[in-house]
Amino acid sequence: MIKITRRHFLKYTLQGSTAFILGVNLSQNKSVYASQNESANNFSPSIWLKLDQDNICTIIVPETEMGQGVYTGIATLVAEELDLDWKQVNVVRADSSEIYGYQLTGGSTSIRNAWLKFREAGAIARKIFVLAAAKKWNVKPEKCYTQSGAVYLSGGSRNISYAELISDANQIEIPENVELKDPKDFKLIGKDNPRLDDHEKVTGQAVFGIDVQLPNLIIATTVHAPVFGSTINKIQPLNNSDFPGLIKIINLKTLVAVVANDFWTAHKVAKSLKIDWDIPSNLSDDMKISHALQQALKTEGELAQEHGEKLVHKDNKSVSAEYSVPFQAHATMEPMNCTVYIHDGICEIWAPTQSPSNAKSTAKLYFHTKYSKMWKKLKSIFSDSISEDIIVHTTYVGGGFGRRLKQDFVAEAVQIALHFDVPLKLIWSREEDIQHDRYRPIALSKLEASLDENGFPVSFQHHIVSPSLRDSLSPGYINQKRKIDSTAIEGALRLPYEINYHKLSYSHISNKIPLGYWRSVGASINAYLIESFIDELAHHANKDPYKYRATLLQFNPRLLNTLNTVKDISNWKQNSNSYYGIACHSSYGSHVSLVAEITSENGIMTLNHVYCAIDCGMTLNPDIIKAQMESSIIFGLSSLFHEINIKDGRVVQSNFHDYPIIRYDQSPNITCHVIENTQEPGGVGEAGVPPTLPAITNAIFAATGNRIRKLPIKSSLFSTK
Amino acid sequence: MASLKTYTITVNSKQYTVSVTPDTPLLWVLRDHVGLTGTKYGCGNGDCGACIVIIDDSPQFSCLLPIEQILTKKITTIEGLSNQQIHPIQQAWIDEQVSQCGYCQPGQIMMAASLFLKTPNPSDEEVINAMSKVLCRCGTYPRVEKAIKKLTNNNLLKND
Ligand code: FES
Ligand code: FES
Repeated sequence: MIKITRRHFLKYTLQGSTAFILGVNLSQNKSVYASQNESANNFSPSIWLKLDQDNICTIIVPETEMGQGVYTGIATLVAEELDLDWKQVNVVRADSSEIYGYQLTGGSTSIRNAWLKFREAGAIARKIFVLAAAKKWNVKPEKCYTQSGAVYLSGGSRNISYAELISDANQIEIPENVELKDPKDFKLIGKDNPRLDDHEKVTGQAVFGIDVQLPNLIIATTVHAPVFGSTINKIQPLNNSDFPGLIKIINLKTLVAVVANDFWTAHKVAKSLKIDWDIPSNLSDDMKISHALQQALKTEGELAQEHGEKLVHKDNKSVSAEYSVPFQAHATMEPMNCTVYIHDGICEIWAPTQSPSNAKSTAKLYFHTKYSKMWKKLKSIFSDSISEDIIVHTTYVGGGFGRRLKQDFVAEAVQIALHFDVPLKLIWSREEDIQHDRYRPIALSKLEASLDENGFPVSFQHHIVSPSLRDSLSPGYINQKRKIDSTAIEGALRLPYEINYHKLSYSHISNKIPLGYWRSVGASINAYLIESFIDELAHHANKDPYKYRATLLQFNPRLLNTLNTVKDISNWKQNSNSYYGIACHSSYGSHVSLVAEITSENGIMTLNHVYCAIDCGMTLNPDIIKAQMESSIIFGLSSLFHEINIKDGRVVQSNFHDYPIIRYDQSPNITCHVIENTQEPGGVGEAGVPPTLPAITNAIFAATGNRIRKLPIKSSLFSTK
Repeated sequence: MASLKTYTITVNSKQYTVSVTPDTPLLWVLRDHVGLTGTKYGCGNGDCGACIVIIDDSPQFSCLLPIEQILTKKITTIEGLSNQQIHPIQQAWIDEQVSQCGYCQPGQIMMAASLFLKTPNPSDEEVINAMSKVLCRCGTYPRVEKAIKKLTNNNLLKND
């Protein structure tokens, strides 16, 4: 029996309501109190459960669905405890209203942060219906049980659906105590319930940001300064009559907006525009950046971590290596876009965003500046409630991967829409999307280890050098007091392995290339090089890389378990024609091990199969976990072959021909084993990415003897299907 | 000097009259003028396949097809793939839980549909050639493969 703190819940009875509504506050540390007598304004539940006359439970979720299956996951948690059938649940995306609290979907946190609360919400609602039925039948609540959205009287003599109990349930107080189900009684958690967003997505009905349609909608596209940091000197005039449908060209200092009656016209004009840019001096390029990284690597760096004693014996063998990774783009299939309609003193936004709350605060900067006088007056009259003059509707998102945590596209759309009194949709062309991303940082690392007489490391030293992602997002993050970017050392701070002495240092280099969060962030870099380097050590020690890791993971049972599992399911080294690579990594509360199996013929390799074992705690929906592993493996593999280059202060790549993400014929077979577990759930959207590259590059080493220390490599080294 | 022209096109057996410049690609006619947004924009260059529609039984990148070239053609988009019931390909996609973000899926499904229009039992090579034209950043390829295998083996799609 777990105790529920009532302040996290609110039952909300709408006047004359024919629905049962329960609000749940997901934030643990908010000092809000709510009872059913208080109005919703005093309480900010992050999700609502609403049970209607048709006995369908609608869950309003403040999370963005971008493929990771969060709608389905949350619905599973609620429906399990509320004893609903799968067809009795429905999920609706919350808007940006303050009552839902701060909304951000990223860092694989959706389920991890809230899994208990969602279950509790379902359990509370269930108990209320049980109490209502018991009262109605004049029996003890213990005599009642629930199933398929109805309350039953033991013995089977009576039953009543939740819907028929709504008005009775609205009279019942929120119970102090509720019991969560014993995992052995789960009917939905741990089952492959089909995704709730599936039908819409296969029929073309799902509305992504780019699909938003409104009456009198006009379309904008933007031309950003190709060279980062440039401003517009002059836009050469066009012969407007060459472009029927062109509405307006707007100078926004660092970018030009072209507005037309359709995207094609806007795009055509954007491509024909002659713009003179004031270009900054001292332009960045790959050579200069790599030189700066090399110089910084020669310094001591800032100490991020040091533990254990350095007991290196003079006979110990020392090994060292340098690894480097390039900038990467997100290349979400749906390019950046945002629709804005300013009407009746309101700024209404439709955006495929990972954070409607940040979209709202971004919009505020521009919307309130424009209407500053009116704004001040309104605020003095209405005080708090006025923040709701910006409404963000979050649409389906055509791939996030961290890109849509940054609201630059919202900022632009609002600025442009302020010129019009009709709705406006901004769409970036693919070229702008690739050239004006927030990139995964480039990085260089040096690793050094000393091996004891058995070949195992007694010391492990790691120096990371990179431009700072967090400083790029919030300039000044790196300062006199803070010289370490927490995201750059992610995945390197704690080694999973038992090693006597570990030292980690970091150096940051200044750079103007815009950076951002990219699926699994720092771990996407650090797991690659640490797992490659461990492989090097195993090689130096003349030991099997699986056994070597297993020995060092003795005190890390969950990761070790995945390692052993993946070794078994991959038939590690059983096929004499194949070459195998292995890697493991823990991130976002999940533990993942991978084996890549490669064959090689006449110098051309084939990546036949990638095997995966994951322990992500509670297996909410094994099939979605597998899908996320497949997704992560393909995403990781893709980054073996592509990169973003900088030349003359700008990005070289511009579309899929020169930023070639993996295609169907390059995609390996994937087998994924999900370890059953009832522990707290870990994240699954990102945890598969970090170990992917090293598993593959370690297999390349096994096949060719070439240690891949610099990414990317040529895709032509591999065959296609 | 370019000018707007009025055209009538037939999409999913329905006629639509639009007023656009002659070079406007079908993709943008569909999305911005007809109001059918199931067909997606991904690259505008024929590199991603998000925009695939079926024109007279063959898959075409709608981002590369100026409206002038398709005036007399029969155009089918994802919205027109199934009439009342869900199409067997869409059902196979649901059965295998292919979709993740879903953005590329109209292109994937239209490409698969055109493949089965040609032959009820496409060879591995035919499948690979066709499906490699459609990118998926979410990495749904293993499931696309499963869904297509299922359709092929069960012979669910016969030419009528
Ligand atoms: S949008 Fe047509 S192929 Fe990419
Ligand atoms: S499902 Fe997201 S791009 Fe394919």
